[in-house]
Amino acid sequence: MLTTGFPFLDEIIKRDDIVEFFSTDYDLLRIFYHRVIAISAPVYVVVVSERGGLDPYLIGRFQNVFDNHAEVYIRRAFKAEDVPITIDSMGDNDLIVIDPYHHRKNYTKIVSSLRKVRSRKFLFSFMDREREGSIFGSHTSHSMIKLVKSARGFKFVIAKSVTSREIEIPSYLLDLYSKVSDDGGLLKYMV
Amino acid sequence: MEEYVLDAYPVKGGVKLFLSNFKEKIIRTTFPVYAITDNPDVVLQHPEVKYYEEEKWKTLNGKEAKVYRFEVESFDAYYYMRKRLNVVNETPTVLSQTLYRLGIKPFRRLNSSDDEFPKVTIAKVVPLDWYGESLKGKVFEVKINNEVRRFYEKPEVEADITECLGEACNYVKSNVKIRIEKKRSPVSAKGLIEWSLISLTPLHEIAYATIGKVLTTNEAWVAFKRRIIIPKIVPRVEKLRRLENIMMADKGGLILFPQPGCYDNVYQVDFSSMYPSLIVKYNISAETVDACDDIKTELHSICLREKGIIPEALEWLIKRKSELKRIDKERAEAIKWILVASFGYLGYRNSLFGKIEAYEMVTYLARKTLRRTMEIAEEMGLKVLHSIIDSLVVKGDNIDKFIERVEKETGLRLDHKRYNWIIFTTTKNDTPYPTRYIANMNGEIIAKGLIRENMPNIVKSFLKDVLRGLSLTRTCSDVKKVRIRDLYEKYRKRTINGEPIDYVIWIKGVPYVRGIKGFYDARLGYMGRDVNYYINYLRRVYDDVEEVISRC
Repeated sequence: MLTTGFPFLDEIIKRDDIVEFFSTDYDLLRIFYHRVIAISAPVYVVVVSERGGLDPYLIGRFQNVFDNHAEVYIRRAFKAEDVPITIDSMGDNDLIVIDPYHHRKNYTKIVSSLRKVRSRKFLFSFMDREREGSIFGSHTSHSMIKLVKSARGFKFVIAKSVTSREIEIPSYLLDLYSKVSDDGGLLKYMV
Repeated sequence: MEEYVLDAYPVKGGVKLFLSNFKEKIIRTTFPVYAITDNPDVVLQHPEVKYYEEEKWKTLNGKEAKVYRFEVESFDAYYYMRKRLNVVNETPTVLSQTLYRLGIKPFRRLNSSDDEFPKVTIAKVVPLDWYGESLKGKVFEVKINNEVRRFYEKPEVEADITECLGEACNYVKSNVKIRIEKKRSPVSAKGLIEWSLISLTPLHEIAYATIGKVLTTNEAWVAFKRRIIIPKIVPRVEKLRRLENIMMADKGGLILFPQPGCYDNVYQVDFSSMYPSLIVKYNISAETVDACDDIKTELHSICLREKGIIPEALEWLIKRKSELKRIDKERAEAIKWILVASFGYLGYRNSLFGKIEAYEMVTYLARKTLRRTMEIAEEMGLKVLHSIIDSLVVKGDNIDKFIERVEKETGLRLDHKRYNWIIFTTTKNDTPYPTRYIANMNGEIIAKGLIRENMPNIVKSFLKDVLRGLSLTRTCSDVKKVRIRDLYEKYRKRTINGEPIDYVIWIKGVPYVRGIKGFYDARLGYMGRDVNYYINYLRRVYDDVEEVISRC
């Protein structure tokens, strides 16, 4: 089951099939999706990148932290033309796609493949999705969440949501690396 | 006697050949353009499409497919078609295919099947400025068939093929000019001729291309002759992996870190073209990996039923390289570059005939082969001092028997060299430096990782003089006695009162000098230097070398 491990965030996106997380802060998003993969296992992952993009050892460490050693299934798509067919090949399993618009082309085919998959999908994009990437993809996503690094931590900015207003959820950087309690604090009155 | 074909260009209704001795010839022909379409008759409406024929080809997956071969009169029609149709078989290029069916081979005589290297004049003309090679200059260095001369005025050069830089190209009379500043490959004009010869591609189509194009063209010829359709892009889906599969497969070559120090009487044993040889031996190609279970490994399986496209393309290149090594080093070097790229290209995303699983198989088998070789060495009483990817340094006797046994067990060819001594160095953190060593082979110094391209000229010169001193030593104890303090003092003085060229640092083809206000582009003229920067640089290098010698 796809989950971020941040209970208040999971509450906001619980009914959304396609959720897109984006950030121009490479390190922040990278750590975040490794955490999400580890905590969501068993899960299917598509990595879109020429090289790198996924550190199996970091996922292993997160799996130790969350005590979740279920399987992570991975396929890599190295060029833009590989992306739609790789997504299609993953079947109707819960899916995490890392940087689907990495090559900045073939948007329509990629979004079409994402829409075809019946299960939940989490997308992670290393770009400012309010300015670039697929517009069709932005319409397709039920939620779009921006990750921004702040002075003492980072915040989730709900840029698009069916259930929530545009709010900012601040968090400590250390929370990324550990379990977060499900006491939502004042947020439960806002959402 | 017939002239050699140096280059070829398409013209309307035929091909224009540029021949040696400044001759030209036009041959009337049409160009073949292959396309997959449901309605070939519509294409015939283009006035320059003469006719078409239906042909049976196979896809990369082995399925039969219908392809139409359109004969067109000019490249305009070809470009028009490729925008509107699914044009396939564009590698080898349409021009290369046209020449091939006309029986015309680049750098061969017209209507002749002799196999010798063409007797053509090859020139290289480079302008020199105060900092070295430059786009403009008052002095010109001219090299014609290995003879080097300097001209202090505009040179007049005539040659069949000329490699020229910047304005030097204006003073050259040649049928084929290769502009050095546009080149993307590391080989000389002679190397490019060799590439043109083996890939049956006109020189201008590969002169400014990367190694990958030559390699892919060679592989594509194999596919073309087997009547396999070559698409523009081959989308691929990777095998589904678990996390631990990725951890096991996504690795490079094996490295055994050396114990720093100096060792007398050692042997360096290298696998000759290890990665390409493994590709050929184990039949590794996109269509053979995971196709059937003839060879099963922990990672993937390999199918041996049909020879793969890549092994077939590489097999004769490996043979050609070892034959050329005895005849012409420059041409052998050109082939070596293709073989070096062949492995990396297997895993490259745009490779037409490779895939990531095939790439992983090669590194897996290379690690296994080197590990087994190290085991054999130890079984035979040899001490393995260092090993890195495809080579190892051993100490002990029975080297011939060791090589014989390894060649027998692995099926790969080995070369070996005896060094009087070898020094393994450390990094600044005092850890072994696996890619840096200095060795003496009967007075010839082999230094890897010591002199870097981006060092100031004066530091490079200092290190070369140090190595010259080391070349006179025979044993490690002789090395220990070498004193470089005087040499350092001499260079320190030269750093203060040096020539401007001493301070030049080449970084990615651009000459820089470190001035008082930081680095500046030397092409703008000499504007002074920061003496302290160069003295400190020299001091650091001196300390480093002194440390290396003291550890012997």
